[in-house]
Amino acid sequence: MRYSKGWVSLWIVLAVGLHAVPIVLRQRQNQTTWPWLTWAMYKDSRPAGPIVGERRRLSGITETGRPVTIDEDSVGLSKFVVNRVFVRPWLLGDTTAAPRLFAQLNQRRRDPLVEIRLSVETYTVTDSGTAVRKQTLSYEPDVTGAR
Amino acid sequence: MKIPSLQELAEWWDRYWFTPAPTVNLALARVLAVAAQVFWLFPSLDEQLVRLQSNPHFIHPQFLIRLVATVFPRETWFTPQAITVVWWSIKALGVLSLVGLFTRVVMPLFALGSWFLVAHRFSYGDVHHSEAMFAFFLLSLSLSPCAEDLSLDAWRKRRAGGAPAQVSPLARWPFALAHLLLAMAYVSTGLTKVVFGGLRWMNGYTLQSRTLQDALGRDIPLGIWVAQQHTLSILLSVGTIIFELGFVASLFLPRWRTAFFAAALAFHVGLHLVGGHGFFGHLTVVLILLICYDTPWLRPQPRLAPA
Repeated sequence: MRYSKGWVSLWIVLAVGLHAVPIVLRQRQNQTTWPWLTWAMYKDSRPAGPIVGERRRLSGITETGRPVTIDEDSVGLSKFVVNRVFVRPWLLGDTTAAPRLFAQLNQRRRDPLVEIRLSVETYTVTDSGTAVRKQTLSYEPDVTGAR
Repeated sequence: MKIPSLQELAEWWDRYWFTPAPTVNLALARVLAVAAQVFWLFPSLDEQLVRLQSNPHFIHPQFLIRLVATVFPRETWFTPQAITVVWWSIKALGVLSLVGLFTRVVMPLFALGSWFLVAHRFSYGDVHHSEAMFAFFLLSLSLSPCAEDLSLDAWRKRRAGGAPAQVSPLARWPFALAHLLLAMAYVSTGLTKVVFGGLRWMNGYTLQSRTLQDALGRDIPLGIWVAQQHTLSILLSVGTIIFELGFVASLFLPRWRTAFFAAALAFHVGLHLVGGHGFFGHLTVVLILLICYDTPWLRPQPRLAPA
């Protein structure tokens, strides 16, 4: 029993103590020590003012003319990564973002995409109510650059 | 102030982690946790294969995956066929763990296999907290005498004339460890909000902003409505900080533990309904603690070996 308690105690110390590792490594966004993680979630605050949120949708048109919704499975990455690596840069004017997303999407498709679209609904909540603004960006490699 | 001697510390450690407890609680926890993992939380095979095939290499490999890939290189071993075989093998180990057959060997493999699948999923650019607490709990359970009851192993032992232990000094620590880790997680997330966000974190606008973004992205009408309610958001922000910083008190108030777990359950259900935060692994651990951790309704019943 003492032997078992010793091993269990070691596991307890490791399970608790190794939580210091991600803190020491100072990994914020791309933590690689799962399941030992820092728990600094949603820690940032923001000042008073209008609340702005976006609903983003990716879609595309295939070579055969079929409209498709682009989801995590189509890209092979989580929506957080898609957002961080492709969508946000595209919205910020990075002209390489849409071509990179296009290439990522078409690497395994039998019916390749010929156009991808990013539609964004921006909701702004103020004391006087909620306003919605819509915009759509599209990318067709053979026609133009990202618009 | 008197500094405790090493022996006193050892006695305290022994009392905290190894106070004898009924094994039926552990056994029920095993059944609930493994069933949740096998039938609900198990990483999807499709997702594993899509991530594997869509990316020529890991983006930010988890340490566990780096460790595995050192012995079994990605190019050679991380193939769709190999991952499929591994996935089904882990699933089968889960079924054996659920019925409690050869549990001492099978369940640690199942728990580590589950760690592997989650770590593989999280090696492609993003990592989430929702599975971490459950991963610790599953592995802890697998290292405990969780098959002394409600298992084929216990049945076989009784048939062979043996008597599975109804009470064990090793039957309580998985719950106590999960409780401690929960408290650490909550206090850590609460403290970072206060330290980095300051009192402004409770101004209502912060929560409205986060909720609106999450609810819009996940199409949650309730969340979109909450994001437009300023006073309610202030109250929810204050409640969040009080809960996260206050949960640590449950370690020192054992009589109130059930109330704290119930509050944690309500907290996570609320997060899911409003923001779509699927902390289902976390939720499962809280639910199991609520049902099984030193609870008065689970008492060992005398059982006789068959004649």
